[in-house]
Amino acid sequence: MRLSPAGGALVVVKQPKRSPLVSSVNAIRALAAGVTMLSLAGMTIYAGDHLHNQSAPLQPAAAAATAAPARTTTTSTTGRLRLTTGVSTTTTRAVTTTHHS
Amino acid sequence: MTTDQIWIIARSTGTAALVALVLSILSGMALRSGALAWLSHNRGVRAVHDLTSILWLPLVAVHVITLMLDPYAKVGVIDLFIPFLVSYGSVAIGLGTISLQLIAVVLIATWLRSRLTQQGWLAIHRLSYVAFVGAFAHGLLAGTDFAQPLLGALAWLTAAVLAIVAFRRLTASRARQSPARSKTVAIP
Repeated sequence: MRLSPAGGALVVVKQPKRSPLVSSVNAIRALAAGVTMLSLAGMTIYAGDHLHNQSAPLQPAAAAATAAPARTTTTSTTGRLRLTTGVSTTTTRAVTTTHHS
Repeated sequence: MTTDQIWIIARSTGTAALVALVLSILSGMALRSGALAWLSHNRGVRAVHDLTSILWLPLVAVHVITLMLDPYAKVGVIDLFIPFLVSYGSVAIGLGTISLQLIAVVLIATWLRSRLTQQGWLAIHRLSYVAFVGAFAHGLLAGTDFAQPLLGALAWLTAAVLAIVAFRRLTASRARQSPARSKTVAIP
């Protein structure tokens, strides 16, 4: 409501009230439920496609252990390889060449 | 159910629960400020507030149960009651625990509203803002998906909208209070 001067007297001017986009209570309820369920379904699909996120703040301990660089302390003594436990490595067979004089 | 499936459900329900909480808080604030008057009338906004508060419950329940089943998260029953005890991401998960407890208090207070004074109920109801901040921080610090640029941007945008509506509500309530004050002063 607004007061405006017209011909010296104040006249009450009623502003037209805008009707809201969704007037039905059930429709707005369905919209809210739809948004929530859409986020649930969308995130389920997204999480299924992106099971792991390397940039996530929390990484599972097991995944962090496998992602960490393997500590391969290999010492070569007298042509043999001594490997640390629990590390899977692929090594080529040690070849010993003997010089015949 | 495989651990991967558990992990997917935990993530999706966590995000959906946050969406429901955002809708609940947004509609709650809009009831007073009229921020959603363009979308629906107050009865409709009230219906959204009531519905999303109820929708939030099963989503959080599934989120918590799946995380308890998840072998990596290592969340136990005790972690639902005492925050920051969990060995893995204690702060991030602890914030989620506090948020969950606060909203549980808010919901219980709503059900017992007739037995509470208006001021007491309002004081408890306002804890939902703190709970939202806790839940948002929980999502940022523990959430796998908030680290994705697009989802992170959406989350921050939502938080910004909530902050704007909260500011609008605060200014609207102050504007309502100030003429009342001047009237009481004016009366001899």
